[in-house]
Amino acid sequence: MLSKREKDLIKEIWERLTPVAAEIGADALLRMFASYPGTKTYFSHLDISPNSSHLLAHGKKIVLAIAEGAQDISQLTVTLAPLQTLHAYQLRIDPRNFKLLSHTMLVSLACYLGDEFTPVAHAAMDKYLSAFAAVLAEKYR
Amino acid sequence: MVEWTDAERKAIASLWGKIDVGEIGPQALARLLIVYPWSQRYFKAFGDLSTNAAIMGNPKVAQHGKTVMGGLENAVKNLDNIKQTYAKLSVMHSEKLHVDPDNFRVLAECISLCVAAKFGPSVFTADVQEAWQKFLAVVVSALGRQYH
Repeated sequence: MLSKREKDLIKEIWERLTPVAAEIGADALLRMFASYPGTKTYFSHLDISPNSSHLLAHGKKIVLAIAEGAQDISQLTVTLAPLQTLHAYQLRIDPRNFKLLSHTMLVSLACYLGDEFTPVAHAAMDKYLSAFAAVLAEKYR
Repeated sequence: MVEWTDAERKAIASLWGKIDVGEIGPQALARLLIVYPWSQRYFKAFGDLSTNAAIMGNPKVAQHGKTVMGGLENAVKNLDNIKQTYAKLSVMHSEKLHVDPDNFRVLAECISLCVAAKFGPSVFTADVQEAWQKFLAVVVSALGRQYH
């Protein structure tokens, strides 16, 4: 459950990160590929080397989607409906991988926010990303 | 037996050299108790854990965090024999403390996040993270090994 304070904090943080969406997203993806090599199997069609334009574009897409969801967390199912369909019927990424990206996304946030990545922010973000992943997987079966 | 590349050994040793267990340990344990509040079930003897402030200011939490983090020193010094090094601790966590081993994995995640926040992306690079997480995963596995 997210309190109002947590929802505001999440919204504020993602709003602030929107200008560096590509960098944060690419960083999280790179970390995921390095620590969990199985995740690379979903990207054989892209160049996922560090600083590649594919990686930056893809990272940006993901972070902007997360930021958009954060604008109104109570409407997550509505906001994510198109992405739910995409992931369930086309991409078919095993949802266990969502946890892996959530973790490396938290690491990227911790790296960039440093002290500002307080335990409260950490808890709120972890809960939000879990909720995001759960909604994303809803149409799978 | 776990295989470590030279780069991984170097990364782990270098990162460990920078870590202050008295700083990161308490932070990581406090985060575990705050972010995953159900983990508080194992710490009823620690006194006041009722608020985040209470947890972060609790001296028993700080002391235990330091102890747990300091325990990683044994693993760093025995990279090729972590399973054996942690056998007794594993038995203790299973038979005496009755800790669900999934908590080790979650605490390891908290440790990584504290390290990331402390050292930033230039030190905690994707490759350093990989080596560090692999190291923690081996420790976590060793701690769960003697459960039956």
